[in-house]
Amino acid sequence: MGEGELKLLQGTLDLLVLKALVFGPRHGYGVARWIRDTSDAALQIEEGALYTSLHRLERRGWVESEWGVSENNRRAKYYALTADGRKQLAASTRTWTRYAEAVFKILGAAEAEATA
Amino acid sequence: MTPFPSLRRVFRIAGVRRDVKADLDEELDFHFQCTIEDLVAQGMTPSAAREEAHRRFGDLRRYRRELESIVRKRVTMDRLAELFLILRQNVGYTLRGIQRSPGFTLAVALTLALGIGANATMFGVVDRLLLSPPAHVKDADQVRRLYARMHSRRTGRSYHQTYLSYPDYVDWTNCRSFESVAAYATDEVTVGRGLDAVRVTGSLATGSFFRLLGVQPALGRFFDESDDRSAPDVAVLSYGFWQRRFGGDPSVLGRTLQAGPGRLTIIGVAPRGFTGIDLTQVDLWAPLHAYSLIRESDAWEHMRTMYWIQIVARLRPDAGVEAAETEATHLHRAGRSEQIQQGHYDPDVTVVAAPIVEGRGPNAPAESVVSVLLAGVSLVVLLIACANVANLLLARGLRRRREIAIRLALGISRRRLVGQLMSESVLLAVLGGTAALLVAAWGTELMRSVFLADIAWTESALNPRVLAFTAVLATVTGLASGLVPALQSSRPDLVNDLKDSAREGTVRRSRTRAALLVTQGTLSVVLLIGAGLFVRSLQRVESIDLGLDPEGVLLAELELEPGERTSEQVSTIYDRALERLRAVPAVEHASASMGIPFWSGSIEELFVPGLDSIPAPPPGPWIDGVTPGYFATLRMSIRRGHDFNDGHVAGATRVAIVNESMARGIWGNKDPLGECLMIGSADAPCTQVVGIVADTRRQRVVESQKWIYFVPVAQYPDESPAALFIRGRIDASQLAPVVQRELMAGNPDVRYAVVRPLQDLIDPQLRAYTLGATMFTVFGLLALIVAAVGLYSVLAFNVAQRRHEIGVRSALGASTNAIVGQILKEAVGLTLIGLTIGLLIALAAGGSVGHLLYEVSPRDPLVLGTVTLTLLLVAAAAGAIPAARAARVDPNDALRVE
Repeated sequence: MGEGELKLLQGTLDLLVLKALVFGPRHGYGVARWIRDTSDAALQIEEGALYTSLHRLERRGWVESEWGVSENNRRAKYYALTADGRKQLAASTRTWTRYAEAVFKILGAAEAEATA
Repeated sequence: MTPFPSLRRVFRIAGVRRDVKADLDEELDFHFQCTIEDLVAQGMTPSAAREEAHRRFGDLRRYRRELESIVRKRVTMDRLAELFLILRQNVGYTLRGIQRSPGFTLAVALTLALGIGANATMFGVVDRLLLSPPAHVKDADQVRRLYARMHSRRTGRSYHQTYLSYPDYVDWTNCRSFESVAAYATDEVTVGRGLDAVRVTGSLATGSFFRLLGVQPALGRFFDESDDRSAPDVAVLSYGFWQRRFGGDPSVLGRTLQAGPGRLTIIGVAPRGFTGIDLTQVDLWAPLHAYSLIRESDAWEHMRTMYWIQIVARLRPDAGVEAAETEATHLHRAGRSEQIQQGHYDPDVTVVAAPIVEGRGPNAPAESVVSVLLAGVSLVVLLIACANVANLLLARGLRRRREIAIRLALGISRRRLVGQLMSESVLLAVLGGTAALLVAAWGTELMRSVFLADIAWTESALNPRVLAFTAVLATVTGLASGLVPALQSSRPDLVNDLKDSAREGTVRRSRTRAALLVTQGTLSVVLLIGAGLFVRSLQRVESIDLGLDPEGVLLAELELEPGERTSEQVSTIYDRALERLRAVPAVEHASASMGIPFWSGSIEELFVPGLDSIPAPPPGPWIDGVTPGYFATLRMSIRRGHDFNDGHVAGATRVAIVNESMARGIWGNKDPLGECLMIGSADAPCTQVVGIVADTRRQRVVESQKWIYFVPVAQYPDESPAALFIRGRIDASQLAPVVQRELMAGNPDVRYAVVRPLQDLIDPQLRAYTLGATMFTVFGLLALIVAAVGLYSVLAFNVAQRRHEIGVRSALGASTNAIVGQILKEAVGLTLIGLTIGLLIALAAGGSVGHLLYEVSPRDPLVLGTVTLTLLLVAAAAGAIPAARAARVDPNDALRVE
């Protein structure tokens, strides 16, 4: 894996994790399941990477964690967005959307030229 | 900001600092269990589910490692952030406290400034005198000073001989334990000639000297053995002298310098701050054999009875000190065997290889000893200051009990609270420490210029070592004085404190504070007694009747141009000088002599008809050759008979004047006038006693009375005067330049005249006493002031706190006297306890300073009495204002407070 690839992947992964927490605090497993369910398992993400992402986000202060009790009555570590995390999510979403739009535009243009 | 404020708080207060690994394990366990359960619920077998869970997770070990490092970094950052936050809060809290009570802050900072400043001053002095090795010396631990430890048959005590002879040095150059050996001798020397000349300190050193010390020249080169052997007419300048005399001109190398009677070529400049191995300023160094040029003789090379050089050695890296001493002792005894056989030298002499720092060796200068003592004293002052600050903080803690109780009730942890209170005292100590630097700068200036003027102070008063010391001391002081008050304040009786107004409850805490007050009193007493003893010593020493009056007397020594002269020729030079001086209107008396009181003198064999031996106190009766008018110049009173006159020349009847002790010792009640002395040998012609002069001190201010007799210098065979004494009608410092010009101008024989007050020879002998008396007094008064302020503040605080009680009592009919009496009783009571303990300590410890005192018992009743009285008076004074305030308490006001 090249370095550029990893960065893109990591940034995208962080974005997905932040998004997973926007509806309320979740534990790590919850985040993994939400991403899996929402994407219909289309994204091949190692769950270990999700955890490193969560901890990295926590270190940056975008996410905080507390031990709580899970739905099946077990001790679990819950993650929640901080105010900074929310801002970051909004900003990243904008950037990613613009980026995706730009990529799509180019891809679309190429198609048009080819058919012309 | 945080979505789980309550959780966070619960978490923090529970204080569970879980292990990072355990936390991660639990989190990941939970993940795997959930995944496996879900998969099993979807119909997988448990083992297949486990496999799938691991596949989905990825490389567990790698992720585990990554996670751990991320978490660790976060935890560290969190802790730092938390610490920073607490620090900021504490500082903010402290600064608000300072703003609220500037008077309190000032009192504390000032107290600490004095205490810490005194210590910083003494540290600077002790560091220079005892701790730091001489500048620029490499591996100073390996360099040792050599002393000969001998037993004096005369005094029955053993002593360490610092000055030895050149042959002793040569003996030790064969010592295998030494890498090298060097010798040096330091003396004043005149550089230049005539009115441009200056007196500088010169050091003659063997060629091995600089190499042994491992010092590198700042310019040019040092001399070595070959210079010393073959061309000793070279000189190395000290950095300071090079700057002063030559403005730091590098072209000085190769120039010549008139030093004493010799012309020396400048070959190098020593590095800045280098003073050899002694701490006193040296201006130039020349090879030891330059001494032959000065003396115009090399007899010194073989004279074992000429004790004039100090010897240093560098040990071989593998040689132990003891082994070196044993070997050096062996060589020394062998070298001195002839003298030992003749009974002129102690056969049991041993060689001591002492540290290079003179103050740590056997002959520590009095300044070093007194400085160490004073450093201890300054530490005591600091202790008093600490006790005082602790007391002030305690009192304030009491006043703030309600505030603290409220904060504790609101859930601040005790650790946080103690931290806040401690950071307050540390900040106060930082303030105090900063102010202490001012005190130290001033104190050091005083110490250096007044008491330790001979020491070459190469570093500034606030050098890095002193700064570091001050910083450490300030921190320790802050912690020490803050800890007890902080702990006490943070352990209040919550319910009562909240219920009470800030008024009551002084009694509960007063035991600690009383103990602190008693400690202060005790320490002050000890210091004041020390001060009293030293002051009394100084008084005793100063009031010693020297038998002569040095005040207003100038001592002049002539340096003659090189050349052979008979003693008659030299005498003529002095006679002419006396004529010229006596013609000066400002000169009252002028005379000359061979010996110089407190400096040099001679002893001759003496015989008296009818006596087998002369029962003179050792080392024997001193003889001096003087000119007529000598006794008048020094104001030595002639008890009987008459002074010499111009008729007492060579060939005339030989005459002598003896001092009272000698007259009494030899002739008892018989009239000595007209009696006979045989000077030099038993068959010498009779010298007739023509007068009796008052007893005087000969070499030292403090010495047993010597027997001294005087003869006209003109009748002393083959001798000539060596010094001139001038008593002026004007101030000595004004007269000195006049005398110097008179002696040098138009006199081709005189190259330079050294003129200085006779008092200069006496003052150094008094310095240790002056230093001790002054500094002890300063510190003692400092301690007394601090202790008095402490007593006052506590009493004043008590009165303020007990306004209500006093009001009630006075409303119930207590007389003003009773109220005032109670306050004063408290003050004097505490003081009495401190006084008693202090006196006991002083009595017990008195013996240890006995050797520093002069004719004062460590239990001197006058001193003990004065100190007792002073302390009680001060206690009463400190109690007076609070007592007066208590007397003025209006019951109406006091009772209306609630």
